[in-house]
Amino acid sequence: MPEAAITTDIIVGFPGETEEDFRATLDVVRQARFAGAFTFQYSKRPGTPAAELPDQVAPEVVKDRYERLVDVVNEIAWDENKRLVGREVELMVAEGEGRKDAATHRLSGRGPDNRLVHFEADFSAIGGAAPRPGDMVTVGVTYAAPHHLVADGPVKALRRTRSGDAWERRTAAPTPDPAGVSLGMPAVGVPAPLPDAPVCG
Amino acid sequence: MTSTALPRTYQVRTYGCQMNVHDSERLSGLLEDAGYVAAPEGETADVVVFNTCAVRENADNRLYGNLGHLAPVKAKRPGMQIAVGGCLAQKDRSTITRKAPWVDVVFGTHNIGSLPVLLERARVQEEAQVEILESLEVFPSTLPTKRESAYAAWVSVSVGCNNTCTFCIVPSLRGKEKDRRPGEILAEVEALVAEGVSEVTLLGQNVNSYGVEFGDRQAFSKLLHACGDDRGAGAGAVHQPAPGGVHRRRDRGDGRDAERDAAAAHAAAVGLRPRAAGDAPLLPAVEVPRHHRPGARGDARGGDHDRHHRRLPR
Repeated sequence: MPEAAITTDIIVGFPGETEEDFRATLDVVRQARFAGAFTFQYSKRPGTPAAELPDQVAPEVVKDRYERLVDVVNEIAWDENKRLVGREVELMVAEGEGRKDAATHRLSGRGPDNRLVHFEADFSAIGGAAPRPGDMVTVGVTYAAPHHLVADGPVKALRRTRSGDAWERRTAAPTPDPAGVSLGMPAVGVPAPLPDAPVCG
Repeated sequence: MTSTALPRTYQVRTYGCQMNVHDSERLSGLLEDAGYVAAPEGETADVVVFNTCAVRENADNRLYGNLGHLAPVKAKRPGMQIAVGGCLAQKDRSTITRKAPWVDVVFGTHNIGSLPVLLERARVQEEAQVEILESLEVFPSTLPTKRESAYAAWVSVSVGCNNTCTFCIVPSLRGKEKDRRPGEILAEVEALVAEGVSEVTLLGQNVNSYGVEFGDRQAFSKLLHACGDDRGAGAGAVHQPAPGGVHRRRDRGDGRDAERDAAAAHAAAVGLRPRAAGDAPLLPAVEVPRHHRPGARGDARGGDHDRHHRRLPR
């Protein structure tokens, strides 16, 4: 599946981890070409067998390995992202996924491989109307950052979807009578952002 | 609560994984069903609910820090209630009310549905309520739900984990794996698609082993195929097999890609084979802690190495 984006979770600093073990982890990352990875420093948890293992790794060693891992993960992710510059991708327009979108005059969406793409809010080639979250747009990738892509230039195509319709209905709905709610339609105004990807402190 | 009183407001603060985000949608749904309304952005709510994480130590520290910040807020606001649920509640139980006596309710991972009743009981009896169950009785999936997104949805396929990864506290807090029946999952997906959702993320502490409870090792790939065949919408897939892993399904609206993508996801899920010593690096997306040293096979920890292999679908 050459078009698949594969991500993973990696813990560094497990008790007994040697420098050689850790370098093997880096090798896996390089060979696997992960599109991204959630990375963690091992945390001793009460009641787990690992908490009792000998050779717990010193915190400064764990931290150093972690930083080296992050560098490799970022380098690989960025390389993989760079391969997509110049390609056309179809995105589902998202909501709440672009912190800087207002300032950069962009919207955000995700491709079929879940990659995050910030695209220019230029709708001149699609009749001028803005896509809604849930609609599908086709854009051309112009720039790769380590953990996202940018697609500047006019949006090439727009496909309005039932999801976009559902989003529009939701945001137009008046605040309901609180006593009668079971589906919890949100109030008028800026819709709630999509839940973040898991980042646990 | 009289009919002339203003409705009480609530806020749910969610930490940790996507399963917690899913569960928080149920907490919100339960509270709104009971007459609470979401506190406007920036306002302190009458009821603050922490849905917590215990996977790493800093998650512990974060909760108690946050509870400390709320103590003076609550002192100035008679009638305010604080509830703590999720994995850290399941772990610490009444230690939470001992360390933070201003907490009104502690509930765990297996009794999410009890929140409104516990809040009421705490209010009436003016006494903190701590209720922790030892195992899951009802899937949170079935509880009233307030979905945050119009186009994307979380759907739980299972809760709990039967693995024994030596570093992980989650099985002790989420319990043994319990699987939802495929029919129920697909019914939920169909209903969501009918409402306009086109991106569904299947959740579980360990989605790869879905079906272990009813003895079908192909169950997850069958489920992916069924979602792909779909209930009218066609699907694309991005698959992330891992403990706590999730699967994304995207509606590209054309249906053509559904079979290919579901099959591709299936291949990713079931194409992994057990790893032998000296193998080339692991296929991505399976993290195996490199704690095992050759020759240590006789002891319990050596056994863990084999268990990592067995939990991969074949």
